[in-house]
Amino acid sequence: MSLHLAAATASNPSWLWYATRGLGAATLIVLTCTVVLGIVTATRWIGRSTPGFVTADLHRNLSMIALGLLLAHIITTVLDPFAHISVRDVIIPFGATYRPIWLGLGVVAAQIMIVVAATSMLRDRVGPRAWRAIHWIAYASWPIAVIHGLGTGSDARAPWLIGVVVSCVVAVVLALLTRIREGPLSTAPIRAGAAIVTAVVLVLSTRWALGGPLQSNWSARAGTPPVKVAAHVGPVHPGPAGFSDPLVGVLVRDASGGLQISMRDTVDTALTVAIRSPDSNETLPVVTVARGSRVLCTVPATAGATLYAVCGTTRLLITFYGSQLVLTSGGQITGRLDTSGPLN
Amino acid sequence: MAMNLPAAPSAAYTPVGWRLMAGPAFDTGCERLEDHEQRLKRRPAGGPWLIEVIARSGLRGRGGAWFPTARKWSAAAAASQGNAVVVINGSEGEPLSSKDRTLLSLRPHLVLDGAALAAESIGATEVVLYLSRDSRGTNGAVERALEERRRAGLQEAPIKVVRTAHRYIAGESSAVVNRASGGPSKPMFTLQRATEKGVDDRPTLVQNAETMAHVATIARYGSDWFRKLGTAQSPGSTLLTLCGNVRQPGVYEVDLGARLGSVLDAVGGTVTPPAGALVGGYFGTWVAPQALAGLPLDAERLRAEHGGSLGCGIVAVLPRDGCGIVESTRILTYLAAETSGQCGPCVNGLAALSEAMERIASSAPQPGDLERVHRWIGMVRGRGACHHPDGAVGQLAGALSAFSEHLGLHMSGRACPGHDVAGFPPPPPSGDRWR
Amino acid sequence: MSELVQRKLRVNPILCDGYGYCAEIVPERIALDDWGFPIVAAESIEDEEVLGHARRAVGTCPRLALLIEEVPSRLTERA
Repeated sequence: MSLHLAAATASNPSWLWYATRGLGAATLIVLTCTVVLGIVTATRWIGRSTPGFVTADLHRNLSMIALGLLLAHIITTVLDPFAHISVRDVIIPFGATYRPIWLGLGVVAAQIMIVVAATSMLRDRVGPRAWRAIHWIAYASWPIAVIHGLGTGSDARAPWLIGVVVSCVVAVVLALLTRIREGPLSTAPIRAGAAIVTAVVLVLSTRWALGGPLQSNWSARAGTPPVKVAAHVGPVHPGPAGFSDPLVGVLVRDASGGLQISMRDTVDTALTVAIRSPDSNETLPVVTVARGSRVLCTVPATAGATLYAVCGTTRLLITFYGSQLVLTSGGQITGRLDTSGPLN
Repeated sequence: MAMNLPAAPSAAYTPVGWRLMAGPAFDTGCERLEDHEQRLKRRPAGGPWLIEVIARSGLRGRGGAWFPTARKWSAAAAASQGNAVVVINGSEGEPLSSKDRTLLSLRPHLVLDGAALAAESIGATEVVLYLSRDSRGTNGAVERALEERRRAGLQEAPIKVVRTAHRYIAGESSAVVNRASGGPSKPMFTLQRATEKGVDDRPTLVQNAETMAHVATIARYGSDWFRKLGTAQSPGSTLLTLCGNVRQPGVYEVDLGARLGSVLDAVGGTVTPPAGALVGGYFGTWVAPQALAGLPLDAERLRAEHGGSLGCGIVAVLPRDGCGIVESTRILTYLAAETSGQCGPCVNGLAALSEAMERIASSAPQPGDLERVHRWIGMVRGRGACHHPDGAVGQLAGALSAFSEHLGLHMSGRACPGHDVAGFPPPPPSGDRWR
Repeated sequence: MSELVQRKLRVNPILCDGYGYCAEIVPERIALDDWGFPIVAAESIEDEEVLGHARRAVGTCPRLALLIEEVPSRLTERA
């Protein structure tokens, strides 16, 4: 009974999951505004009525808001039970069970954002050249965040998310084009290189998005762990002691007079036992023990109403109940499986 | 033809065969260590005593700033914790100057003696000889001299040669420190002087090669001997490069107490009656022809009477019909191309000034050009990380003032005969490397 | 009477790229030249309000080129 309840929880996300998605989208929007303002500050495009320092201050304030949203997004992610993302997964990237690569990218983007913000707050100590070098790396956090957003979400195909992502990308690309166009001749090669890098990243990301998150089978390909009952429940007989379970199955006699028995453990229902009579070059019946589709062993057994076999290091005793009639003409058969240890 | 100048009071004067330039004849080339030691005897060991002697001698730096040498040594000695660095600046990026090249290729051991004495006096464990890559004659002589000292096993701080591209600004103190620390030969912005924090953040003494040579003689002969020449404020002798409209251009050792007229007389005078002269190199002062004969070489008098300085010891004489406005503009254009490109006011200001002055020098000014020039001269002064813009606009302002009457000709659009007159050395092409 | 410590605004002309935010924030002390680069008044800042603006300008410069140099100075004779 308890197994069924676990399954129910696993397939219905809580409000925390939706909060995480919403906060993530909000973080991306505010981060996009921050990046656009940062780029525009560098072009020194000053509106006729707005002093330039206002753009710089706005950039800084928005980055603080983005950090706040990022923190909330991370907290709801860890608290939410649906995807089982632990605190460790949020600090060390690429180790989660839930879509490890795409989640890991989010961790990387978050860490870049935090480092950039920290060095800006301590810029007097860090010094002009180190501060500037680290601030350049901030450029990387934005595309990584976008790809993270597309890769981790179960609603990458939802129109609202596609709308948000496209708007953000358009805004940043336009701002970049404005910056790349301006500048002295001496920086022309760097600006041309930046234009090429931007175009390449844009094309590759779009192709990935169209062939990846926007496809219907993305969830499985992204590494979402299957919501299996067995995943939440451990083995029925974990060991080290053996067990004794009733068996139920069928007996079939084939044309040449050979005998095949196929039975299932009624307690550990994944466990199956099959017995067949010996071939022409064998003397003993052969027992096959399997768990689901995985064969545990195929071994000879002593003959008789009780079969004795050794599976790995575990001794098995298979006892058949029922009348002689079943044994001669086939039909349902019951029995018992006694083991000296676990069969996992 | 004799120079057509009023008679000037002259001291008894022998330009060659004295002090730094004493020793074997110049056509025998570089003096070897054994001859140097035989002629001058081995140098004494340096120490704090030498800083005192140099203070009494009144020696001033010969790199262009004329800064009291003892004060620099005291500052370096105070900051040093046994880890100071001595840098001999022999790069001579000033195109009109040849004195450091001459000194290093004929009397290198004087310079190296001076550096060793400096190292011992301020507590330095390392000496850097900073040279241009281009002066092949110098480089050969210097390498031989270093090898001789190594083989002789002299007990002195090891000397390392650091080479730089031949740029005007490569000789600036912070550029020297930058290059010697492994960076490009570009000036740096720093709130601390090199004597406190220089090469590899160690206390550093940067000294012109000629200054080091004077130290080597003072250490042997004393401060009283040094003061026998020169004036109270500018004692001793100095190396002067004479070029342009002179019969025998070259490097001469002169008494700082002399007047320019007697120096020129002694070396054969000018070829044609001069139209003026540039004293002190590309950051120097333009002097009208009537002031040349009586021009003092003493730093204080020169500043008081003409607002200028001898700089790194250059007098470049204009030929008859030579035009100070034209030559000054050529120099300004060269200096504009030789900025390190790091500071907005200098890069933009010198470029704008050069453009306007080219028009004026060609007698084709646009309305407002002269007003703009004066405005920009005031706007650029003091706003770079180093004194490159100051020197450049100072030279220009001096020309505009010294040749103010002739400037009228240019501004009215009449052709200037001096535009294509030969006889004043033009600036060389600007370089493009920084190491 | 002068302060114990003189506070002077200085610009590192090598780092400066002529954004001009400093001139917007503390025009009492900084003007722009013909090419957009700051001309910084050399006198010490005595006014606390101006000092506040100056500190803000230092924090806003995108190249970290502006700084406030604290120079200890002698006290003049007190009455």
